[in-house]
Amino acid sequence: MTARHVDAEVVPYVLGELASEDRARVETHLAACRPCRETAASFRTVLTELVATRAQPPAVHWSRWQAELRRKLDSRLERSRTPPHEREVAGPRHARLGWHAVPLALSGALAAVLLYLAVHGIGQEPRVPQLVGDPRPADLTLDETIAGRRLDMLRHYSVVERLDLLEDLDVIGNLDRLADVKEGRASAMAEG
Amino acid sequence: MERSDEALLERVARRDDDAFDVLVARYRERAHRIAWSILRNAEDARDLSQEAFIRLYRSAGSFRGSARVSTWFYRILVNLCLDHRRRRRWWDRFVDSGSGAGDTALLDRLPAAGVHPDDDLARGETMSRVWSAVDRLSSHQRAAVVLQLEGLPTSEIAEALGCSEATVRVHLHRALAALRKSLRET
Repeated sequence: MTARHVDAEVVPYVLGELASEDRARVETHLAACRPCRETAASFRTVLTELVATRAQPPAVHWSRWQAELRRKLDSRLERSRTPPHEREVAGPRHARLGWHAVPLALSGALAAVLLYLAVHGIGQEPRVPQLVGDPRPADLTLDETIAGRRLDMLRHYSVVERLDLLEDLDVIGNLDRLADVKEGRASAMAEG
Repeated sequence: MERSDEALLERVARRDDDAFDVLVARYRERAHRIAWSILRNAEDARDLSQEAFIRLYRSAGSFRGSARVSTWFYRILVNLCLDHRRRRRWWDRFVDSGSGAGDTALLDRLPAAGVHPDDDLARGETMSRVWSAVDRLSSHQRAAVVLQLEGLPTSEIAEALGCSEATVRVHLHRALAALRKSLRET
């Protein structure tokens, strides 16, 4: 049985980077330890596969590649000689910044939309525009305003329930004034 | 007479364009292959391998000679690729999710060439399976595997990735274990 596994040395062993002394020690261990032996064998197989199936990059036209490199280098050197305030107006750096700014702009737009939704909410009732001199509270919704207007009818329900709607439309239209008329009569009677 | 990378870089630091062209010719194919292996996108590989040479030109004067020129250059290149991959990841997630746009990118990510027209279908499938699994590794694991396949020793991979050799071994160990698992499952 072997003292300890040689995990840390399997890779350099397979790559042939161990000194002869260490190599001999690892080999002694591998001879006695099946898991380590299998690890070493499988690593060797994977490396062989990698080498055998190693991909080559697409063919490159080297003279064109080198001419392009020269062009880029010259333009970079030219730019480094140009004062910064003139450099920012145009040129590859500006163009590159524009390209890199696309995700930044998208993120900004997304943040703006989220902020708008957070402030104004999603699917809330529309607010009733507040006109100058309008006595209604400013934060009423449309439904609340309509319900508020119908409260007049509820307050004068005893009158409303006795009306034939087709004949007494103008009474309904002047319900607001009913209270004033009642108050006027009461004060006249009190004075009388 | 063959000039050393260090001598050429010294001349590049003095803005010697001929020396720069020699260095570019020496490393461009490898640089492009590493960038492509990490990014799996032809256009990005072209741009970033060129960008790495531009950075080499501009920072040649700051090279202190503590590592080999090639290792120093690979570090510039790998950092560019990993940064690009990191930036691209959230954008890809945002743009590709739920759209069919990922299909063309997938074609670009699949291993190209290497398989001759008369190779059998099974071999192509194995290739696709292996490299799709590589595609799912973390950026550092993937970079470690790519640089290892380029023949860099662990010490140079560590320099290029800016970490210790022990960390590189951990990356490789985890990468190989993950690939083994993926290959067994498929």
